[in-house]
Amino acid sequence: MLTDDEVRDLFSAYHDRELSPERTEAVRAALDASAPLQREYAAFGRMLDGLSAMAAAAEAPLSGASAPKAADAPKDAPPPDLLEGVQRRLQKRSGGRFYADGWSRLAGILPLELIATLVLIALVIAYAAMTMVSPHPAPAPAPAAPAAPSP
Amino acid sequence: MTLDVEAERALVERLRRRDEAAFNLFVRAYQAKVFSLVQRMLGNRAEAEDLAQEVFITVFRSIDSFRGDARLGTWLYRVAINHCKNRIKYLDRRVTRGHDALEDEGGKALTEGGPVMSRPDRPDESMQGAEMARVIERALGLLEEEHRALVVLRDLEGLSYEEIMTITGLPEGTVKSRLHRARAALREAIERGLGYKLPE
Repeated sequence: MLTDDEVRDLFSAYHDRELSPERTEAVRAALDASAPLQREYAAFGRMLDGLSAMAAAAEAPLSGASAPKAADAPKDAPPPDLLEGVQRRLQKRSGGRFYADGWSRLAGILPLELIATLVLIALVIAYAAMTMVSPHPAPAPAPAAPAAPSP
Repeated sequence: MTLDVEAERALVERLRRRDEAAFNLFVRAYQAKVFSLVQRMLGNRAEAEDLAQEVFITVFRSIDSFRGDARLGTWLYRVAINHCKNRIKYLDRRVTRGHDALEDEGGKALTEGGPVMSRPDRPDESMQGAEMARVIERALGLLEEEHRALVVLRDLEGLSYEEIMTITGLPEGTVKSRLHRARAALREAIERGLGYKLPE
C-alpha cells in the first residue's frame, strides 16, 4: 500500500499514463480510498488541463470572416522577419561569406515555386523578344531595275 | 512541417554543405516551433525574437555536430533549450528577468509572493480561458529554468518523455520525478499568485 506522499509523487506519471499496470492500480486504489487525495489529484489535473488549453489556444488558427490583422496574430507567432534577421546576422558574422547576394536571401522569403514561375516567365519573354526582334533590320527591297530602253 | 526521414537526411546533407537555400527552407519550417518554445521559456517577446535567431545561427554553424541519432527537430529543441537556459541565467545576473513580463501586468506582487489579483468571489469562474493562461504564464516565469524547461516541453509543446530525455540528456526516472516536482512548483506558484488554492 502506498503512502499519501508516495501517491502524490506519482501524480504526474499517473496523469501521463506512464506507470506500470501494477503501479497504476496501486495509485487508483489509494485515490479510491482517500477523498483528500482525490481532491488533490483533481486540482492537479485541473492545472494540467489549463496548460493544455493554453497550448491549444496558442496553436488555434485564427477564426472570423475578416482578414487577420497583425495585432490579432497569436502572441507566440514568430515575427515575419525572423529569417531576414538570421540572414543578416550570418552575413555580418561570416564577413560576407554567407548570404552576400540578394538572390540567396530572396530564395528564403519567396516560395521557390513562385521564383521558378517568375524565372520561367522571364525566359519566355526573353525568347519571344529575341525571335520577334531581329538585331539587323531586314534589307529594303531592291529598287526595281530601270526599264531597258526600248529600241 | 514534419519531414520524413529521407527528406530530413537530404536536408541535413544540404545544411552541412552550408547550402543557403536549404537553410532558408529549414528556418521557415521550424521557426514557429522554435519561437514558441523560446517565447514560453523567456516570457519576453523581444528577448525571444533575438534568441530564436541565435538558435538558428547555432544550427547553421554546428550542424556538423548533429549525428543523426535523434530527429533533427529534437536536436533543434535541445539547441534551443540550452540557449534559453543560458539566456535566463544571463538575464538573472542582470536582474532584469521577468520585469517586462511580470511588472507590466501587475506581476510585481507575484514576484514578492503577494496576490496578483484580489481574491475573487467565485474562484471557480476565475480560472477560465485567458485568465488561466495569464496566471500560468506568470507562474511559469517564476520556476527555475530546469523546471520551466520540463513543463514547457511536456505540457505546452506536448513532447513525449522519450523526446524530453533526448533533449535534456536526463534518464527517464529523473525526467519523471523532476517533471512532477516542476508541476508541483508551478501549482504552488499559481496558488501564490492567485492568493487561494486551486479549485478542486
